[in-house]
Amino acid sequence: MSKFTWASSSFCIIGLKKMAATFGALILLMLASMTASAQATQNIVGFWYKPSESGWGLSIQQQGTSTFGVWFTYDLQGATTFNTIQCTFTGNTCAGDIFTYTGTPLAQITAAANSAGTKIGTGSIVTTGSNRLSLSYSIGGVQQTKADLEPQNFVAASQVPQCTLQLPQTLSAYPPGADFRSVLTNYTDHWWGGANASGWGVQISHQGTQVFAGWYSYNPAGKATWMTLQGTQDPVNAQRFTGSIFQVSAGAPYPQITGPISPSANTAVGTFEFNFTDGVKGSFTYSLPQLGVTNRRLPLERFAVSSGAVNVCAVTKATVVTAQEASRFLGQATFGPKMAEIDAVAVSGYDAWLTAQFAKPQTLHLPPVTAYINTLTPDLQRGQTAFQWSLWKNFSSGDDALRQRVAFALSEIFVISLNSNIAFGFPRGPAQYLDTLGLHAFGNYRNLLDAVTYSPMMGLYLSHLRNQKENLSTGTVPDENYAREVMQLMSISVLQLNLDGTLKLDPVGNPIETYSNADVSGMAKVMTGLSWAGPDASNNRFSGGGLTTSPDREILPMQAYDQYHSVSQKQFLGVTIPAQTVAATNNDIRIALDTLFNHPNVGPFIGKQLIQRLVSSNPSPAYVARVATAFNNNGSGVRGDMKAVIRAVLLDPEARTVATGNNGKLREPAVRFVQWMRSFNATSLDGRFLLGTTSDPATQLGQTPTYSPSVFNFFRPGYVPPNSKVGAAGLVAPEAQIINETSVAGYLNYMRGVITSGIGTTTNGVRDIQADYSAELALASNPDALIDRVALLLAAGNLSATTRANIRAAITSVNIGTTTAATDQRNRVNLAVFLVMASPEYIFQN
Amino acid sequence: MSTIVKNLNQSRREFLRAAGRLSIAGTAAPFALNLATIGAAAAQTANDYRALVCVFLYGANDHNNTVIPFDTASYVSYSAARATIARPMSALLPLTPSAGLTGSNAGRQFALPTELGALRTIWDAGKLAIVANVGPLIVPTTKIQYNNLSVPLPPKLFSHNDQQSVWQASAPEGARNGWGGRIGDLMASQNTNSVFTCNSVSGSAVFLAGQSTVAYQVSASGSIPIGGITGNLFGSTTASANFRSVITTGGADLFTQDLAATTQRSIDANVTLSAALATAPDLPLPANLATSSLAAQLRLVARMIAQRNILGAKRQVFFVSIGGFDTHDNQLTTQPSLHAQVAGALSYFYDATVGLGISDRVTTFTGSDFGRTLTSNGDGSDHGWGSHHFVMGGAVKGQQYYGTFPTMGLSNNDEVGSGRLLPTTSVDQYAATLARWFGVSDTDMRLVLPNIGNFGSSNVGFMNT
Repeated sequence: MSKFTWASSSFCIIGLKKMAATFGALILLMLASMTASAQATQNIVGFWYKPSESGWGLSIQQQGTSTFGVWFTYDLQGATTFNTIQCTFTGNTCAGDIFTYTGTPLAQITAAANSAGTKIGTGSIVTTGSNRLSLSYSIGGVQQTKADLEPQNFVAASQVPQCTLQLPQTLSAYPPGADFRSVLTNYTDHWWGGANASGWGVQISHQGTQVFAGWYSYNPAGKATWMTLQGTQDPVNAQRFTGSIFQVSAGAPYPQITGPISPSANTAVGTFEFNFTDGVKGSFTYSLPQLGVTNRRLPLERFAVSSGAVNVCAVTKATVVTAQEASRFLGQATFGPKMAEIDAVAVSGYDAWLTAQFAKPQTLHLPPVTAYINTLTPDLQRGQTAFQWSLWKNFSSGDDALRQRVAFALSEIFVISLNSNIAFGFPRGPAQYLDTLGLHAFGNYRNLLDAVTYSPMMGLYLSHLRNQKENLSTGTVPDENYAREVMQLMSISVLQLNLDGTLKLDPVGNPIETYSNADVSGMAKVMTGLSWAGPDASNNRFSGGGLTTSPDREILPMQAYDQYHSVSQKQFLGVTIPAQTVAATNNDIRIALDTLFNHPNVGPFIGKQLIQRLVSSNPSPAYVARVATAFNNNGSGVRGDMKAVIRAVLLDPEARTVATGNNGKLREPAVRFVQWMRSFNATSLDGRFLLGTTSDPATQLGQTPTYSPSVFNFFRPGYVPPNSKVGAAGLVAPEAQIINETSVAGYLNYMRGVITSGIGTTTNGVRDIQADYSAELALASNPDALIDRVALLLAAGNLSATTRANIRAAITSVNIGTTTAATDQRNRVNLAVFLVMASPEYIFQN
Repeated sequence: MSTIVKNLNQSRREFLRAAGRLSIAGTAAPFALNLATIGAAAAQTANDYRALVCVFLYGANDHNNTVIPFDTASYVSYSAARATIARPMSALLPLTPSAGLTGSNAGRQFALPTELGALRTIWDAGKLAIVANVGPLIVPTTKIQYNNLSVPLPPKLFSHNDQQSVWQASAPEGARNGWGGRIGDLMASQNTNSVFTCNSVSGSAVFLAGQSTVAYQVSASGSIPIGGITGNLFGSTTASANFRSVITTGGADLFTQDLAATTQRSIDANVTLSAALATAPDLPLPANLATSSLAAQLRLVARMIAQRNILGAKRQVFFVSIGGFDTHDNQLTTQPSLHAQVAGALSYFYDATVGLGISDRVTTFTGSDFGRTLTSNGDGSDHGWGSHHFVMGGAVKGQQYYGTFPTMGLSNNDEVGSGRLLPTTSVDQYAATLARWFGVSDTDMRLVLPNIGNFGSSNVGFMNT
């Protein structure tokens, strides 16, 4: 904290770079000249100081066209005081009147404070280039110019937020809590007690984990004074800051300042705490023992003019990507971006975001599912209701957005389908299965393959649970189901591949099949002898009947029952496991899965599918080769590292270069719907997201995660839409397999209802899942800004001029004031969201 | 696959000849256009109505427990080979053919499981035929040729998705068009409104994709109107026009153009179909089929056929389906339940066409991924190749078996391991028999079925002309 010392030579007051000024009664002065349309030509928001005269400073706030400064200095008796200057720039000069104030003493301030201003002179702020400005004033007989004020920063340059004026913001139209700035996580701005508590405020500079603030208020005599606040961010709760209050006991009267104040004059006089509810609301709690004030708590609001641009500050030094690029990336890496995530990625870049996501704890399905079924009587604990809720909840609100998205992608490769009713009676099994995919999504493919093979849900679905060795007397042979599909769909596929995913050809130019039916039969023998977990390996437990079932068997890996495992010779893929005298179920499976894992097809086959699920239907062979190479070796000699594969998929130049033409993929209907939930911060009134399946193509989405028609997923990676331009161009469009004349109508009708009324179980006439359109409603009066925001959120800003013009025309056809303003604003927002989500350019993610 | 390509090239010569006859202007006319134009020539003589209805049994129906050997020798062999998944004789309904079996089928008897009893009624009425051991082939193939790989074989045998595609389109996953769609290409010009030439009530199926014909994918409840494209949308009377424009306008890329085209087709088809269905007979499902998706699909087909004149249709191909046949386990529970649904739905549909007075203009046939192994894996069966199929309708020479039934048992020349049947009738031959009835000429048959020339006969014989 020493560097924050008010008067020290190493830190000087009011040098904070981005600082806004908020005043109560003073606002009235500001509003008069602020307009909604123009943008200030210069942004000089922040604390400014003169290093050689450390101890006084100027904080500047700009909104609309108006610039407003709070001049923290000392009166003619050397006591702390503040004056204000309000002006409008003409060229590089901003000239206006200077005011001084009296008001309610700070120990008595309530929600009804006020102040009275008195003009004491005139002044001007002049930008003098290269991050310098000067302050000139004429007060009474004093005429002075303080030159070479510079911005004060107290953290590394990379953490200094960049502030911009963002237009347009019709704040008068904001319903309570609907300020678009609510998502901001940098609190640099001018904060005050609100319109009813005008007269005092804190001007906060938030850099890194630290805040510095100038607190302007009134002393016990009602005279203007100020103190400074220096605090640090709570390591657990990023919205909380605590620290000390400093006061300067005496300084040189302002006309006589020629050097820094004495460091010893600046002493800690109390403590404070900021608790921010969001980016626009919070509280300020302070204790000042000398004044007998203990934990006085006042509400804080981020100041805004009633119309015109406001300041938005964010750490942008690392902004290697634009908001559009960040949104596009997040559209690939998650179920769709939230605005705060776009801002975060724009700041952090892709790689840091990935690293942070890899470290996030997994949001699980099993705990909420278990919690729910525990509330039910045993006879009702059979269905998947809670799992369906959990799907929507975790997909839309899990903080581990990347893991949730990749887990869903994996569920479309390692398919179990609850359509088959396999899990009826096993309410926790599917939750555990999806959790397992999520767990290994950031692990190693070999472990993923193992977990899938031993999953009882997969065992039920592809019928290797209870699979028995051949019986020569009855002629029964092992079930080939899992043996075939684990090869065809989950590891090596049917045709031999080059590293880049293209087909290997024999000398006469024909593709080469990866395995024969004999390989399937050999693999099927390996996949015998697995069944339910339990404390013993009895025949009864194997067959699953009786009273011996283990209550947790649905969520535990299957176990070996060697007595049912084939002991005859097993041949597959060039490997021979000799006939055994003692059956070795687990060892045989290990050999088989190792063989699959090390097959050269896995990298290109699985890698290409992950590209297709997340980024592009038609990746170039070179892109596939780069991802396959990452699969084969993560750079540290490890094969199958999923994090390396995910990085390779998402950071590949082909993924990151802004796409043109046909480079991209159709968004799946379920992904579109979850994106709506994410983009508009949908919440569940119940908390559990009470929504079931959405599988009907005629009336819903035509897709519910984990409810595909078969093990071949909702669509095939090689699907060519018949009679299409895409097909004629030699391209595939997997997701088009579930896009048809019926489902396009079903989707549009469903989303119209969803966007209008929310979705899910209706209680007291309200559907459970509701969007928060407050940020969009705030822009209802500005169609262009509304479209910008919605298009950025949903489509990475990618709308054609024609589509944009159509959406704009639709929005502007709703006159605000035709019915009630709130209804009209909502209709505009509905149109913006619905028409973007209806547009082909949105549905095609490129 | 190379054989397929070769035959496509042969057929290309034919259509070019046909195109020449029709004096098509320009040399760059796409294949698709030419097919349609050839169809236009055929239209001059067509003034009746015909419909083909494909009932696809997804997952691969186990044929061994569908058409079951009933003569003692075969049944004993069947029962021994199937072990735990054989149906007992007490669960069988023997079929009586209208004429005795001859050739290699002589002396054989067959039965349906009781769940398919409704089909036996149609059989007895002479309106249902059974075609034995049908499967994809490129050329007639013997077991020796199969083992030696001395003839081209269908690619990716025993793989569900690929064999569904091969069955429907003669090529594995990624095929662009199927024989139902290619028939549609030739016939679409007979329809006033070509949109309703090929209709799937079961989502995407390459079977119905033609070279020019696009399958119309309709829901079992009919076409779905897109709300908000007319009238008031979110408080605006003009936004609906903007909405319609947005969803029907593609961008610079092909994906959005295709999507916009699908949406436009959805809107256009709904205008016609919703009006037609509004006045269509209701044809309600019996209570026991109330929850059957297949029955609901067939009901929609029947109601569309009822309104064929309003829809401007003289030649229509329909696709419906039912899934769940991949009975690797629980076969004795799962398959009978599915069979009951299939029999009930087909019976309902046949009766509906009788009621509409059009049963002899509607031919319904089954398809499936492949047959299944004769061997048991304990409680189910695994992926096979050839399978038995049903053909139903007033124009069918019913109460008869067609094709050649395999010798029952393992390790004979009719099977390629575990009782997987080596097909003796190709899907192409099966298809050609249907296509000829539908109106495809012998000279055009190769346009529909490029490999048909590889087989001695293109007529299995189960259709009246």
